[in-house]
Amino acid sequence: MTEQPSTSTRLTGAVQDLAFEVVSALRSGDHVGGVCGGAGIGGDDGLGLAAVRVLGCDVLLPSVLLGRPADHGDLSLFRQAVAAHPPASGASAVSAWSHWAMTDTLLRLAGTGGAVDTFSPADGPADGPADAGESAAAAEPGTGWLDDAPWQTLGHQLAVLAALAVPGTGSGIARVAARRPVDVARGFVRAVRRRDWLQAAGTGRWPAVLDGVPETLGLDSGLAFVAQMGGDDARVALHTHVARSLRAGARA
Amino acid sequence: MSVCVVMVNARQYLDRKGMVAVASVEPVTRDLTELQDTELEAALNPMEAGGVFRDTRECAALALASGSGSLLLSPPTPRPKKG
Repeated sequence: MTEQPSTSTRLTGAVQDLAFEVVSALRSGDHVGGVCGGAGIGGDDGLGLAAVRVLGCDVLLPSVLLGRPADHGDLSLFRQAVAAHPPASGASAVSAWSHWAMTDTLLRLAGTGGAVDTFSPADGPADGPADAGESAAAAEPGTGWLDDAPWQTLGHQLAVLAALAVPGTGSGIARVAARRPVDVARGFVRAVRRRDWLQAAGTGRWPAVLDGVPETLGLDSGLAFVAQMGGDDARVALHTHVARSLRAGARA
Repeated sequence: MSVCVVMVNARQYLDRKGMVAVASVEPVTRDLTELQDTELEAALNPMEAGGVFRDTRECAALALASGSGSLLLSPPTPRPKKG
């Protein structure tokens, strides 16, 4: 009898499949059939919903960055993932923030018929909330654990919360990062030198949306390097693609 | 509690690298074992992986690629030799 892979291993694989679809949608500028459909995730797929929860608001990133209506299937599964996996008792602040970001994304999309408030990285923040009744921001978790954290910890935690590094979507995490751009840059370099490509890619998204990052960082070369070294890791490809796209948009 | 659901679907799998469509009809078992909170938490907030610090080959390559002599990415200063 063939030994079955662990649930964690299967979850990792499902997250990779989903991230691959998101990257494909971002690169092609289209996502007919949705990213969840492309990853083979259906409504009764517990593992798939968990993968959506792990990837978080990046699942809807093609709509956010490309300014196109979100796929109805993706929206439905996104909602299910939010409902099925709230932060557990004793969960980390990272888990709470990840869930908050997903809820915030849904609130911003609510009442728009699935359409997304369009924006271009070169244009600035997104339009205001579409519907006052459904636009009340979900209460943000605290940032106390991050406000005075050592820059090494800041870099790691920002990498894990890379999905929140999107222009026009204010959050307490983004405000903390905005106050410490040099530490964010240090965190990126540290991750590169530790050869932690996923952390480097995740941390590297933040300098792309922050002001005050030292020019000596060499972010563009660094992101290209991380993308190359990341190999087949779809999450590395996702973060580096987003960061480089935002950089290109900012220079446009 | 473990619940196994066997689904038989005709699916097309795209090889990521070659983008070759391969039609496959086979039993697809989705183990709906409830994901433990700790497993999901570990996926959401993974600990730092062990890393190799100060790999001068890659750091040097990165510094060369940047072309700007970015000091942050330059290799560390060699330690003075003994004697």
